[in-house]
Amino acid sequence: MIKRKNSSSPSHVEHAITSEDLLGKDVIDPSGTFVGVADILYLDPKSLEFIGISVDKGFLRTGLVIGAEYIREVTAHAVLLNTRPVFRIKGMSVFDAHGKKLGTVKEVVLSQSKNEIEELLVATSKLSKKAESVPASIIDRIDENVFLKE
Amino acid sequence: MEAFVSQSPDPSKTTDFSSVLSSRVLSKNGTVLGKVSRLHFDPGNDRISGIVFRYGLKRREWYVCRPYIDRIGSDAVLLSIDPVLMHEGKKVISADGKTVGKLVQVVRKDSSNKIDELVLRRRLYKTFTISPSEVNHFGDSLILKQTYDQAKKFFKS
Repeated sequence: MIKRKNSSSPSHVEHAITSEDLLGKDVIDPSGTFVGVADILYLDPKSLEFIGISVDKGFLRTGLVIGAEYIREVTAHAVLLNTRPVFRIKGMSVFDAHGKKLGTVKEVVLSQSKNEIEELLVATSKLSKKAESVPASIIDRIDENVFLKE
Repeated sequence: MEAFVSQSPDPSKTTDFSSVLSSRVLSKNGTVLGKVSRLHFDPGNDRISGIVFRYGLKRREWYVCRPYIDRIGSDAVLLSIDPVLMHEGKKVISADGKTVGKLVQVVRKDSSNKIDELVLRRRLYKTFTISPSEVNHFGDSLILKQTYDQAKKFFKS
């Protein structure tokens, strides 16, 4: 007879979730935007710690990896994030404090691979390949589009 | 240009009326709502009482009064509100991320920007009404305060 060592108490297993509970679920950010579908789970091979997930954003769109620290909760229906992925900022219009359109966000430069913006590269003209740098310090708010400070 | 100015500001410090027409209208959260098609004046005090613009695919005319306008510039008119009718058509999801339905109508209190009730559609013709206090967040979707199991009370009644 093989005696199994069960290091987890029954109550811990009861409340645990498995990869089946997570993979294939919708990933939703705090504003209710559907980001994609969780398709890969990442674990640290030594510590067995949950690192994050890969998100399939859809047909012909590049995937996205989200760290565990940005996941608020895994519910029965979805994976809920605690922050909005910065890739959504790409393509947003940039307005000054008076509503004058300055350009379109071409690229988002993050700070040390975190989800914090260091600067935005803004295309001021559709024809020109040049992009202006907009440091995070002059950004007033980012919502549906980007507003700069006065 | 010759100017005749008494106590009013210098023309260079004012906004040309014609430049406001066709300028874009931005909601508080930065959504481009449309372009100014008309300016309304209050004949009682000779001040701008509001603007008119066309919104959405159906090109409905919206009038927004001066108290809801943050600033009027030659490039854009910035509103101090996010018009609540913008939420029509958005998905409604429960607090645990399941789609509950779609917001088909926002019923306002008179003509203000305050919501009286929200009409949701769950299946093709089945609609139900909830109070705006049931909504935790108005964003790209409406997120309810309740989980899906708790939200069932809305459409089972």
